[in-house]
Amino acid sequence: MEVFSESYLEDVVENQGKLFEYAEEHCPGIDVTDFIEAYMKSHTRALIDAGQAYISTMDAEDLFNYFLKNDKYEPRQGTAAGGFAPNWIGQFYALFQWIYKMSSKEVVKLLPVEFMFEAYPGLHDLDLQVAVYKVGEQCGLNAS
Amino acid sequence: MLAPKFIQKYQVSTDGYDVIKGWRANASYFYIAKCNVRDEVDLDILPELLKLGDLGIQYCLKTEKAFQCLREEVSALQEIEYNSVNPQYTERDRVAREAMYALINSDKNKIENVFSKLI
Repeated sequence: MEVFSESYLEDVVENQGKLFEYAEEHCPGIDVTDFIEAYMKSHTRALIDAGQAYISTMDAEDLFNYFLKNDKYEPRQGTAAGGFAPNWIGQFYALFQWIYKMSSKEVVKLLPVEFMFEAYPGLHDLDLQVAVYKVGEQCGLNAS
Repeated sequence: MLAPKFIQKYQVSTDGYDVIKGWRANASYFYIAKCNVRDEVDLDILPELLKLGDLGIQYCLKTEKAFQCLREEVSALQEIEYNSVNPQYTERDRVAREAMYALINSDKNKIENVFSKLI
């Protein structure tokens, strides 16, 4: 799969982390696991995978509103995750998608959100790229 | 933290103006602004960076008086096809962003004269 230009990468990674964090802060009691999974499988995220500049450069709040409107997502009630995990997972997923040239839909299928929350304590202290490579290696993937 | 001090020191009063002209503030602009306030950009390359951002100029109509001076040119209105224009928008943004990214990562960006030194 062709990935978007590297010149967008830093912003996409940062904004996805902020998006997941924003969802939890903006909707107290939201099932953030459901939100993250729905977002990663969404048409909105697929547009970013495809390098659509308008979506790729949105900040977290705009992206949140765009996703809710265009994918008709309704936040569900659940247990709050709290802490920095949602932000870190957002960044991890974004970088993983780009490095391994997979669709975001495939990424969340390969690395379910529940797994990411379990893996967070052991991985989040690492440099993000190192963490991505570690997990990718475990999955038998090669970064080209 | 530094931004309020920067604004306090360098802001230009817009009181008394009806129209403000400046760089188009889209995502490319904010990319540059973000790199700048993070001390990732040497001020010497900032003008070139802004030009590479292909930002163009935008006008802000600030007052009722400014709006009253507008005249609508109905004949100049054009309907445009999203599927035709969106790829052009995406391509233009990508080219501009790659050029900025290349400049920021080049040796021309000495990162000596940076934002935090302006405060």
